Amino acid sequence: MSRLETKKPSLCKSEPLTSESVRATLAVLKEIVTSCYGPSGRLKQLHNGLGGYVCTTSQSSALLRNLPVTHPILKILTTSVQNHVLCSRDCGLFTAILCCNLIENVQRMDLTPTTVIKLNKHLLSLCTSYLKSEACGCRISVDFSSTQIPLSLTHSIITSKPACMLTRKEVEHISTLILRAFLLTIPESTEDPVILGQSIIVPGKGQRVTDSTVLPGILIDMSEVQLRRLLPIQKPHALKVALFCISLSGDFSDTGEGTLVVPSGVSLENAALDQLLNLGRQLVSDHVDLVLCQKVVHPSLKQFLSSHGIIAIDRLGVTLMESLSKVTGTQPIGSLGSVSPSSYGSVKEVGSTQFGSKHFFHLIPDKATVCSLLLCSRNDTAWDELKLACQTALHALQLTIKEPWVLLGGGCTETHLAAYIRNKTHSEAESILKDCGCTQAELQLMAKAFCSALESPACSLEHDGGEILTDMKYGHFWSVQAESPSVRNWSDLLSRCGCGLLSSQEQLGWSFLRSMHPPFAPPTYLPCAAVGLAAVRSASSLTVDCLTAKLNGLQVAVETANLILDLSYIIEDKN
Amino acid sequence: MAVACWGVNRRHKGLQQLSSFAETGRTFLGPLKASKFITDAECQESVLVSSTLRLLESLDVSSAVGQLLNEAIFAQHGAHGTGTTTLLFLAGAWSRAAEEFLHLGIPIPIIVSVMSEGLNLCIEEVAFLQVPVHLVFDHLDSPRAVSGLEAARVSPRGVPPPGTAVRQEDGHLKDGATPPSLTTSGLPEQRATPPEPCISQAKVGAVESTRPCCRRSVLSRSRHLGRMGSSTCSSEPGASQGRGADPPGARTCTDLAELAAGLSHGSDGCMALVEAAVRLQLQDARGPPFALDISRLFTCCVPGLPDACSSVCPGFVTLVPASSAAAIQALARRPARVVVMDGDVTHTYRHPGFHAPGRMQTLGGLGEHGARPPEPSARTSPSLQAYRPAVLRGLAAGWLQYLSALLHNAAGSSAMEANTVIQRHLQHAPASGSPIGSVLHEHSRGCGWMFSPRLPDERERGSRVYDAVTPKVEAWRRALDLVLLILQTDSEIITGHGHTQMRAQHADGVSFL
Repeated sequence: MSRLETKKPSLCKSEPLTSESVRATLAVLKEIVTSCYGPSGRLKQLHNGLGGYVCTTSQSSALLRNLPVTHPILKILTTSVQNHVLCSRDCGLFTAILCCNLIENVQRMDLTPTTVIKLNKHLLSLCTSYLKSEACGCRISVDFSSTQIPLSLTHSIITSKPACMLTRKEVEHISTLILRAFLLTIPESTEDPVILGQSIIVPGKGQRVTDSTVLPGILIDMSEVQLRRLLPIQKPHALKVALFCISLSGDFSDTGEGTLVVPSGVSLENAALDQLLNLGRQLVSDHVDLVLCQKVVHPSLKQFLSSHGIIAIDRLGVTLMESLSKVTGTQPIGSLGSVSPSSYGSVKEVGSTQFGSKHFFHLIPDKATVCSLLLCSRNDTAWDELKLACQTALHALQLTIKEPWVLLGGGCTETHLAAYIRNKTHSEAESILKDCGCTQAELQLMAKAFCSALESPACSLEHDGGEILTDMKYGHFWSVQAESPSVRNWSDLLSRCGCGLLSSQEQLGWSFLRSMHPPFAPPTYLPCAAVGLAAVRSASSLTVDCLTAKLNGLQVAVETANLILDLSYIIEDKN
Repeated sequence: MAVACWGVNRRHKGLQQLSSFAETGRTFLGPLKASKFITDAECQESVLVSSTLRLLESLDVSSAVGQLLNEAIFAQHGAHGTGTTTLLFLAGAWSRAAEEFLHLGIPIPIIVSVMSEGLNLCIEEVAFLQVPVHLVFDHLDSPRAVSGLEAARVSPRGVPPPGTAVRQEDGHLKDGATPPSLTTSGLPEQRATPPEPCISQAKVGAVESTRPCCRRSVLSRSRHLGRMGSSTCSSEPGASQGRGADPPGARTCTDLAELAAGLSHGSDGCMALVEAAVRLQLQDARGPPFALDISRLFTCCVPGLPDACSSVCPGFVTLVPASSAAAIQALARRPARVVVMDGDVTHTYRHPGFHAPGRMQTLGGLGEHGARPPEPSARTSPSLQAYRPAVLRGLAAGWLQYLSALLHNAAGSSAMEANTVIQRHLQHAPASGSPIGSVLHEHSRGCGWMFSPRLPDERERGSRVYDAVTPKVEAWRRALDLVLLILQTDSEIITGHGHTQMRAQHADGVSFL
């Protein structure tokens, strides 16, 4: 007898943001992301408390992946940030910090959600159009014919992840490798559209970071014995390759719930093997030199192929398949039936590579744009973090080649942008009031909240009690160590601004970042001489951010904040 | 989910945990180890340990800091087979130093920057103290004839636990930082049972001999093997970056017996097996340069036999069931063709990756039956310069504590006596005009007295003591990496159900999401 229960009524909560517990959890989340931000950000240990794997990180992707948030409002926030990270990789913490602060700042004011959202949208559009405009005073155009700015970009990304545990020398080595790996993924031909290749990160754990290297082509991890059995092969021509994504182990398809009925005297295993050997004969007659299989190859088929001088490598795994397909220029074969000769690809040569104690079968392509980044680190924790950082940097370079600009890093873009918006809402108040249909007081309140939120990621760069200042000309970010004597002459205490472009000796006036100061119009041009000077110095002298990622982060943060601020009810299904 | 903040009350919980873990391994430093009994209050079982590795196996290291420590120690052991106690000790000493810096109000980025810089300086300086050993093999007498299966029977005079064996190790001598490779000609059985060191460097005549035979009991000599290997690379680029192969003033070690004695750190005779292995390999060497190839050294553990039975022989030895003994005897002294099987040759064996179909029925004539075949750079600022001396002093204090503990353990000197000796050396070295020269001079006079239980008066008769370069330096680096990683961590986030325990344990500094 089945028992039926009446449906429980759904639980409806109104004005969720006004709840004290929601505010408290948002504050905790804000504290977590804020404390992780920047080169001196604090690390977090994520673990299950029961002796499981410990993840030490300060990167949003690893942090949010492991944070099991339950409250719907927090879920909206973390999911938005995760989605941003998924497509942009960089600027995840920036997005989260900005979003949390915007929500918090708005909550302190007595404004209707409609007004807030309308003004937020308007201010956001002011920001995006400024960052995209030629007159933007905080972006640098990137010329890929010089390594300077791309190198600064990778350098800035790597140094912002302290859990990588790299020394200055190691940061330089890794930054150069990332750039080299990226350049190897650019095709030589200038066909339109240009399709970028791939950089595969291969672990070289236990080795020195400075042992890391980049090699063209694909590396397949293999034991020395196995490698010796396969190599050397001398072929005067390029090698013909067959790439299989199905199992060649002689399995039969899964019968599921059904039963397979086989007449007596028939051996399914033999039948399957016969089919495999037929395939083998075809491969031989088609003059294939190299058989690559994602899954297992039957030992008998392997032996057959080997006796005909064909190299067979199996169990390559699904992760390598896309790259292998790119390197060999072929689509993976997915059936045992007739293999069309058009499905074969080729590689220029094969060889072996030894790296530390590991041995690799090395596939060297003719022109393909695939390379392997052998990444080393002393410990697993640092390696995991370094791998993430390298992926972020590689992606940032990809985004930058599409939109060839970078933003000033080290907090300067944020403070500069805030100065720009403050001035804009002051000087062009009339037109904004007309567009948004709000009062002067509402605009001033909202502009204050918005600009303060914009400055919050910059303020989050300081974790050791230092003071943050901004100059009254360019609106750049300046920080000074804690316990500095309060002196009038800031230029003696400050050395360079956050991005490294400006020196304190340039006759600037400073003010504490969040103090009341009259709005000023930051110049809508870059200090060109400074960019030139920075270019002469090393990659580490200039901190820059990926424009595409930051722009996307800015939009995601404001839109998510708007969405959360607009929530009137949370309806929970209790069944 | 719970978030536990470490920074409450200006005390860094992570660093404190690390230093208390490290404290437990203090007595393992040096050749004379005081063993520890670890008793499990619940199941009345006790284990005797005298190595860092075994200690960590027995301790509850389920906390996040414990896990990271475990990871570092096992990574060091995996790569070098030695240096784990050094790592543990320095991690403790430097975590105390780092906590002291926090008390002094030194900003974390400055601590991180100066401590890493300081260690780099030390490692560069160590290059001057490296002793080239590549001439050792050139000076070896023509190898003693050891042929066929006749074993070179040598055994250490010490009384290590039964089941003694020499551990196979990584063979890539050009870089001691490489993890162990068992692939070269390692058979599956070799891989299946990695020897687990429990009592390395036995205390002469101590309690170990009475220890019940334990099947995990293997004496690890890997540190000595690793040392030999790594030491040969001291002249490689990277190790002595750009400097000449032989550092000025460093006396080249040309005698294998002297090197062996120097690496045995007071455990007389414990290098005899290694010496025998060197001589054996030299016999087959294809000419200079010769280097001990550890990848061609296999271990066969025979539990239950006294240590005196340990030996080195050419070829490959493995345990076989008594029933096969007769068949093998019949093959003795006959040339044999060998097939190495991957998998087995039973009827039901299928290659890995083969999936048997779920349900299959074979239709027969009469009966039917179912068949079932069988994954920092810190800002430079005026204050960096201001804090630099203090941080460097703190870093140096780590090594002073290390030396002091070593003297205490080895010579039984009190902390004060040890400090007096160290301070005297520290004052003497710079005063001589050339600190490096002074250290090398002291070394050439022999500083074995430090490690022998004899009185310092007998120092003239002491022998030279050596350490392998790469494992040592890597142990320092790993120790500092661990401390800096924990130093920069401000909170732990406990996911899943683990946080319910947290709720009960601390109320202070824990918030829930």
